[in-house]
Amino acid sequence: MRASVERLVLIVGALLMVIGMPAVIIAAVALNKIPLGDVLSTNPLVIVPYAFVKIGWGILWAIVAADWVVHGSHGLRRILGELIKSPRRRKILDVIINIIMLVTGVVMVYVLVFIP
Amino acid sequence: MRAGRGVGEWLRGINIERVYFILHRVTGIYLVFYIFPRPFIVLMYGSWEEALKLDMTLLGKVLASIFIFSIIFHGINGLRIVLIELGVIKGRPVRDPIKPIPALRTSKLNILLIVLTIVGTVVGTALGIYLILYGEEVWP
Repeated sequence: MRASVERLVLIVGALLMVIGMPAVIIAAVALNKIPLGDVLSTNPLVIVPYAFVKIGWGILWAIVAADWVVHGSHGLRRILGELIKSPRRRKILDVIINIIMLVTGVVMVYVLVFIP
Repeated sequence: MRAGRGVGEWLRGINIERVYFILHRVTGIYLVFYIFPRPFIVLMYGSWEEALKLDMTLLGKVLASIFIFSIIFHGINGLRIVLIELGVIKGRPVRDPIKPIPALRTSKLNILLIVLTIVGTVVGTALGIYLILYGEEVWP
Protein backbone atom coordinates (compact mmCIF):
# COMPACT_ATOMS: atom_id res chain seq x y z
CA MET A 1 0.00 0.00 0.00
CA ARG A 2 1.28 3.45 -0.88
CA ALA A 3 2.27 5.59 2.10
CA SER A 4 -0.10 8.37 1.02
CA VAL A 5 -3.09 5.98 0.86
CA GLU A 6 -2.16 4.55 4.25
CA ARG A 7 -1.99 8.07 5.71
CA LEU A 8 -5.41 8.88 4.24
CA VAL A 9 -6.93 5.70 5.71
CA LEU A 10 -5.40 6.55 9.10
CA ILE A 11 -6.69 10.15 9.04
CA VAL A 12 -10.21 9.23 7.89
CA GLY A 13 -10.32 6.43 10.47
CA ALA A 14 -9.11 8.76 13.21
CA LEU A 15 -11.68 11.44 12.33
CA LEU A 16 -14.47 8.85 12.26
CA MET A 17 -13.49 7.74 15.75
CA VAL A 18 -12.85 11.15 17.26
CA ILE A 19 -16.26 12.32 16.02
CA GLY A 20 -18.11 8.99 15.98
CA MET A 21 -17.39 7.73 19.50
CA PRO A 22 -18.58 10.82 21.39
CA ALA A 23 -21.47 11.25 18.89
CA VAL A 24 -22.85 7.75 19.57
CA ILE A 25 -22.51 8.17 23.36
CA ILE A 26 -24.10 11.66 23.31
CA ALA A 27 -26.94 10.38 21.10
CA ALA A 28 -27.66 7.49 23.51
CA VAL A 29 -27.72 9.93 26.44
CA ALA A 30 -29.81 12.53 24.57
CA LEU A 31 -32.39 9.91 23.59
CA ASN A 32 -32.41 8.70 27.22
CA LYS A 33 -31.45 5.19 26.14
CA ILE A 34 -28.60 5.47 28.63
CA PRO A 35 -29.48 7.96 31.40
CA LEU A 36 -26.82 10.62 32.11
CA GLY A 37 -26.90 9.79 35.83
CA ASP A 38 -25.91 6.20 35.05
CA VAL A 39 -23.12 7.33 32.73
CA LEU A 40 -21.65 9.46 35.51
CA SER A 41 -21.82 6.73 38.13
CA THR A 42 -21.03 3.53 36.21
CA ASN A 43 -17.74 1.88 35.27
CA PRO A 44 -17.01 3.13 31.71
CA LEU A 45 -16.37 -0.45 30.56
CA VAL A 46 -19.93 -1.36 31.58
CA ILE A 47 -21.30 1.52 29.49
CA VAL A 48 -19.12 0.87 26.44
CA PRO A 49 -19.83 -1.45 24.79
CA TYR A 50 -21.93 -3.64 27.16
CA ALA A 51 -24.76 -1.12 27.67
CA PHE A 52 -24.80 -0.46 23.92
CA VAL A 53 -25.30 -4.15 23.23
CA LYS A 54 -28.11 -4.27 25.82
CA ILE A 55 -30.05 -1.32 24.38
CA GLY A 56 -29.75 -2.79 20.89
CA TRP A 57 -27.24 -0.26 19.58
CA GLY A 58 -24.56 -2.90 19.07
CA ILE A 59 -24.67 -2.45 15.30
CA LEU A 60 -24.04 1.29 15.67
CA TRP A 61 -21.10 0.67 17.96
CA ALA A 62 -19.92 -2.05 15.56
CA ILE A 63 -19.30 0.63 12.90
CA VAL A 64 -17.08 2.56 15.32
CA ALA A 65 -15.39 -0.65 16.50
CA ALA A 66 -14.69 -1.81 12.93
CA ASP A 67 -13.17 1.58 12.18
CA TRP A 68 -11.11 1.15 15.35
CA VAL A 69 -9.78 -2.15 14.03
CA VAL A 70 -8.89 -0.63 10.64
CA HIS A 71 -7.18 2.37 12.25
CA GLY A 72 -5.32 0.18 14.75
CA SER A 73 -4.14 -2.26 12.09
CA HIS A 74 -2.83 0.51 9.86
CA GLY A 75 -1.13 2.18 12.80
CA LEU A 76 0.54 -1.07 13.78
CA ARG A 77 1.60 -1.68 10.16
CA ARG A 78 3.13 1.80 10.06
CA ILE A 79 5.08 1.29 13.30
CA LEU A 80 6.29 -2.20 12.41
CA GLY A 81 7.03 -1.10 8.84
CA GLU A 82 9.50 1.44 10.17
CA LEU A 83 11.42 -1.29 11.91
CA ILE A 84 11.80 -3.38 8.75
CA LYS A 85 14.28 -2.53 6.00
CA SER A 86 13.65 -5.25 3.41
CA PRO A 87 10.75 -4.61 0.96
CA ARG A 88 10.01 -8.36 0.83
CA ARG A 89 9.61 -8.57 4.58
CA ARG A 90 7.43 -5.49 4.49
CA LYS A 91 5.14 -7.21 1.99
CA ILE A 92 4.88 -10.22 4.31
CA LEU A 93 4.03 -7.82 7.15
CA ASP A 94 1.32 -6.25 4.94
CA VAL A 95 -0.29 -9.65 4.35
CA ILE A 96 -0.17 -10.60 8.05
CA ILE A 97 -1.66 -7.26 9.14
CA ASN A 98 -4.40 -7.51 6.49
CA ILE A 99 -5.38 -10.99 7.73
CA ILE A 100 -5.43 -9.82 11.37
CA MET A 101 -7.50 -6.75 10.39
CA LEU A 102 -10.02 -8.77 8.41
CA VAL A 103 -10.50 -11.54 10.98
CA THR A 104 -10.65 -9.16 13.97
CA GLY A 105 -13.00 -6.77 12.15
CA VAL A 106 -15.45 -9.53 11.20
CA VAL A 107 -15.40 -11.07 14.71
CA MET A 108 -15.81 -7.62 16.28
CA VAL A 109 -18.92 -6.85 14.21
CA TYR A 110 -20.29 -10.36 14.81
CA VAL A 111 -19.99 -10.20 18.62
CA LEU A 112 -21.44 -6.69 18.79
CA VAL A 113 -24.41 -7.47 16.58
CA PHE A 114 -25.23 -11.13 17.25
CA ILE A 115 -24.01 -11.94 20.78
CA PRO A 116 -26.25 -10.64 23.59
CA MET B 1 11.37 8.41 10.86
CA ARG B 2 13.64 6.36 8.67
CA ALA B 3 12.95 2.67 8.06
CA GLY B 4 15.01 -0.03 9.69
CA ARG B 5 16.42 2.14 12.47
CA GLY B 6 14.48 0.55 15.31
CA VAL B 7 12.79 2.04 18.35
CA GLY B 8 16.02 3.87 19.25
CA GLU B 9 15.18 6.32 16.48
CA TRP B 10 12.10 7.42 18.49
CA LEU B 11 14.33 8.50 21.35
CA ARG B 12 16.94 10.35 19.27
CA GLY B 13 16.77 13.98 20.42
CA ILE B 14 14.01 14.54 22.92
CA ASN B 15 11.73 17.56 23.10
CA ILE B 16 8.03 17.99 23.96
CA GLU B 17 6.80 17.02 20.48
CA ARG B 18 9.03 13.94 20.44
CA VAL B 19 7.72 12.92 23.89
CA TYR B 20 4.16 13.26 22.55
CA PHE B 21 5.17 11.25 19.48
CA ILE B 22 6.52 8.41 21.66
CA LEU B 23 3.48 8.49 23.96
CA HIS B 24 1.15 8.49 20.93
CA ARG B 25 2.82 5.36 19.58
CA VAL B 26 3.05 3.55 22.90
CA THR B 27 -0.62 4.29 23.73
CA GLY B 28 -1.60 3.24 20.19
CA ILE B 29 0.19 -0.10 20.58
CA TYR B 30 -1.49 -0.60 23.99
CA LEU B 31 -4.93 0.17 22.53
CA VAL B 32 -4.39 -2.42 19.79
CA PHE B 33 -3.34 -5.08 22.31
CA TYR B 34 -6.22 -4.18 24.64
CA ILE B 35 -9.00 -3.98 22.05
CA PHE B 36 -8.10 -6.62 19.46
CA PRO B 37 -8.40 -9.69 21.75
CA ARG B 38 -11.75 -8.53 23.23
CA PRO B 39 -14.08 -9.83 20.50
CA PHE B 40 -12.34 -13.20 20.70
CA ILE B 41 -12.79 -13.27 24.50
CA VAL B 42 -16.53 -12.56 24.07
CA LEU B 43 -16.70 -15.26 21.39
CA MET B 44 -14.92 -17.70 23.70
CA TYR B 45 -17.22 -17.04 26.67
CA GLY B 46 -20.34 -16.76 24.53
CA SER B 47 -21.72 -13.63 26.19
CA TRP B 48 -20.74 -10.04 26.99
CA GLU B 49 -21.75 -10.49 30.65
CA GLU B 50 -19.26 -13.31 31.15
CA ALA B 51 -16.49 -11.36 29.45
CA LEU B 52 -17.32 -8.35 31.64
CA LYS B 53 -16.50 -10.39 34.75
CA LEU B 54 -12.86 -10.44 33.62
CA ASP B 55 -12.85 -6.62 33.55
CA MET B 56 -14.04 -6.48 37.14
CA THR B 57 -11.02 -8.35 38.54
CA LEU B 58 -8.07 -6.36 39.94
CA LEU B 59 -5.97 -7.05 36.84
CA GLY B 60 -8.90 -6.08 34.62
CA LYS B 61 -9.26 -2.77 36.45
CA VAL B 62 -5.55 -1.98 36.20
CA LEU B 63 -5.58 -2.74 32.46
CA ALA B 64 -8.76 -0.66 32.06
CA SER B 65 -7.15 2.29 33.87
CA ILE B 66 -4.19 2.22 31.48
CA PHE B 67 -6.72 1.90 28.65
CA ILE B 68 -8.56 5.04 29.79
CA PHE B 69 -5.30 7.02 29.90
CA SER B 70 -4.29 5.65 26.50
CA ILE B 71 -7.54 6.36 24.71
CA ILE B 72 -7.85 9.90 26.06
CA PHE B 73 -4.24 10.84 25.29
CA HIS B 74 -4.28 9.11 21.90
CA GLY B 75 -7.60 10.74 20.99
CA ILE B 76 -6.76 14.33 21.92
CA ASN B 77 -3.20 14.19 20.61
CA GLY B 78 -4.48 12.41 17.49
CA LEU B 79 -6.78 15.36 16.83
CA ARG B 80 -3.73 17.67 16.94
CA ILE B 81 -1.88 15.42 14.50
CA VAL B 82 -4.87 15.35 12.12
CA LEU B 83 -5.02 19.15 12.23
CA ILE B 84 -1.31 19.30 11.34
CA GLU B 85 -1.78 16.77 8.51
CA LEU B 86 -4.76 18.71 7.11
CA GLY B 87 -2.85 21.98 7.25
CA VAL B 88 -5.10 23.64 9.85
CA ILE B 89 -2.12 24.01 12.18
CA LYS B 90 0.19 26.03 9.97
CA GLY B 91 3.77 27.20 10.16
CA ARG B 92 7.04 25.50 9.49
CA PRO B 93 8.73 23.77 12.40
CA VAL B 94 11.70 25.76 13.70
CA ARG B 95 14.90 23.83 14.22
CA ASP B 96 17.30 24.65 17.06
CA PRO B 97 20.43 26.14 15.44
CA ILE B 98 22.81 24.24 17.72
CA LYS B 99 21.17 21.26 19.40
CA PRO B 100 20.39 18.27 17.11
CA ILE B 101 16.82 17.92 18.41
CA PRO B 102 13.63 17.60 16.33
CA ALA B 103 12.14 20.86 15.06
CA LEU B 104 9.32 22.45 17.07
CA ARG B 105 6.14 23.93 15.63
CA THR B 106 5.59 27.49 16.80
CA SER B 107 1.89 27.74 15.87
CA LYS B 108 -0.19 29.03 18.80
CA LEU B 109 -2.94 26.52 18.03
CA ASN B 110 -0.39 23.72 18.26
CA ILE B 111 0.86 24.96 21.64
CA LEU B 112 -2.73 25.33 22.85
CA LEU B 113 -3.53 21.76 21.81
CA ILE B 114 -0.36 20.46 23.48
CA VAL B 115 -1.53 22.07 26.74
CA LEU B 116 -5.12 20.87 26.21
CA THR B 117 -3.84 17.33 25.69
CA ILE B 118 -2.19 17.39 29.12
CA VAL B 119 -5.23 18.95 30.84
CA GLY B 120 -7.73 16.68 29.06
CA THR B 121 -5.68 13.56 29.74
CA VAL B 122 -5.20 14.33 33.44
CA VAL B 123 -8.87 15.24 34.05
CA GLY B 124 -10.29 12.44 31.87
CA THR B 125 -7.95 9.80 33.30
CA ALA B 126 -8.69 10.82 36.90
CA LEU B 127 -12.46 10.68 36.29
CA GLY B 128 -12.17 7.40 34.36
CA ILE B 129 -10.02 5.70 37.01
CA TYR B 130 -12.41 6.90 39.75
CA LEU B 131 -15.36 5.34 37.90
CA ILE B 132 -13.41 2.13 37.22
CA LEU B 133 -12.59 1.77 40.92
CA TYR B 134 -15.82 3.03 42.50
CA GLY B 135 -18.45 3.07 39.72
CA GLU B 136 -21.41 0.68 39.41
CA GLU B 137 -20.35 -2.65 37.94
CA VAL B 138 -23.73 -3.80 36.64
CA TRP B 139 -25.99 -2.35 34.01
CA PRO B 140 -29.72 -2.33 34.88
